Amino acid sequence: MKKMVASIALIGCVAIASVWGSAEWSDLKKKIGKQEEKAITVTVNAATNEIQQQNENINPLDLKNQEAIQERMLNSYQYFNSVKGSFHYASKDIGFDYTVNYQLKWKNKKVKYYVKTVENNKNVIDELSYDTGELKAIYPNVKKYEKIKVDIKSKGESKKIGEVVVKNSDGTKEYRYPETQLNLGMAENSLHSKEIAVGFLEEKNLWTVKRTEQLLGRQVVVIEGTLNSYYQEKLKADTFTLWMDQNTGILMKYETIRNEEIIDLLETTNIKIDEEFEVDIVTIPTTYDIYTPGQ
Amino acid sequence: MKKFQVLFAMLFVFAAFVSFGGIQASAACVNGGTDVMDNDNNAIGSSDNVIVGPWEYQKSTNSFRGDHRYLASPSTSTIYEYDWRFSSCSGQYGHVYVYVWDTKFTNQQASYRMYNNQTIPGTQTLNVYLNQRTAPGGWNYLGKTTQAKTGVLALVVPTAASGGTGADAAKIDYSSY
Repeated sequence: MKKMVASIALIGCVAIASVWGSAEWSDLKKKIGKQEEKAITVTVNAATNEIQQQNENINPLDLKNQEAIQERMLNSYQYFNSVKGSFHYASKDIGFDYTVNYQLKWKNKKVKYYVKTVENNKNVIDELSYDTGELKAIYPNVKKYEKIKVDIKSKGESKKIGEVVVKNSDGTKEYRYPETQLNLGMAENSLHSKEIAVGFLEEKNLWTVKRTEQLLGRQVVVIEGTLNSYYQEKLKADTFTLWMDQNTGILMKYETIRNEEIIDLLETTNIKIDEEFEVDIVTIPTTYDIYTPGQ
Repeated sequence: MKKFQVLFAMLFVFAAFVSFGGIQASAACVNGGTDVMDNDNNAIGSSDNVIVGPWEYQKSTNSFRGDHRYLASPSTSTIYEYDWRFSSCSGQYGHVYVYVWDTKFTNQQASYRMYNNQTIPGTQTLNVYLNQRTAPGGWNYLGKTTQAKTGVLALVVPTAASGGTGADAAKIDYSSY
């Protein structure tokens, strides 16, 4: 009788675990499958590309294809495995002035990253890092920290631009950015500038590729355009210029302009792509208290 | 035989708990269902929203249902938060959106998190940043929850961020995959 009871319990547990596990594995398989396909495509096309970069895959880009340019920026995470650098991000309109340092490294399908944001060259406003299933963040000005368990197994989705903007029957629009679990805080404004890829570049008659040039040793695509009326009111600027890294889609620099005056500026000050480096990790001071949102 | 009956009953109760989410579930918590929750949902100061900090109630023709909450650049050093307390939903993934339109919304790293609040502290199933300053006007997609669980959506302003932070409507599309 005892054996029978034990058998039924075991079968019950296995069945429940299988139902849960199969859904997770199915999602994971789809994502991994997409990544492998992309890696093969990159390898096949590498020889035909004009730009020469060391230590990284070469990803061809047709500069006459506006959607391809948008997709390069929108899906930037798919085009590099490691990046280390910093940028300056400031606005005359709002008055912010940030320096952002970042490190991100994918190796053997595992990711580590670290981001530090400093305001006005003196106040560290936050630091965050991810390593082996744990996201850590500290907020020095309030002496708080967070520790979040999250298992990041892939870079996330890659999307076609046609899938991103959806007009609803009530006239509102949905902007469906690619799903990713990478949370790089302020660094996303350069490394994964999804809002600019979709928003600034939504109306294709308002922008053109002007040229390519070298910036910090990288070949960048220079895009010039006019902001639509929504952005003109919001950003208090009329035109914009973007400098997008051609191979990875990283936004190296951007300016918004009104009356020949720069209103917002993001400018990369150094960058290394697909080179070897160690990734820092956040150290939580013992005097900090935990912060738990949503309670 | 009695042991067998007790075990069967326990398995049945466990299965029922998993199926129905254990705690009050959203009526829209089915594959293909949608929940929309505004700021000050259905009433100013609604209990559907939790506010931490000086979030000002404002009317605006471009906002969802004509209003939103706005947090100007905080002058003091503390963590501010605005929550949309969706009913708990287990068994469905959440595809989460926030409505961003008002031109004063300019937080460059608005931090959104989704929690399933069946336990305290809740399980975090989404953690996403959005640049409200450069975001286009409309429903901006935050992403899909990492588990088939949704609940409270929290907009967290953990630093004295320059620029204003906006809280308007939020939406969850539920799916079984």
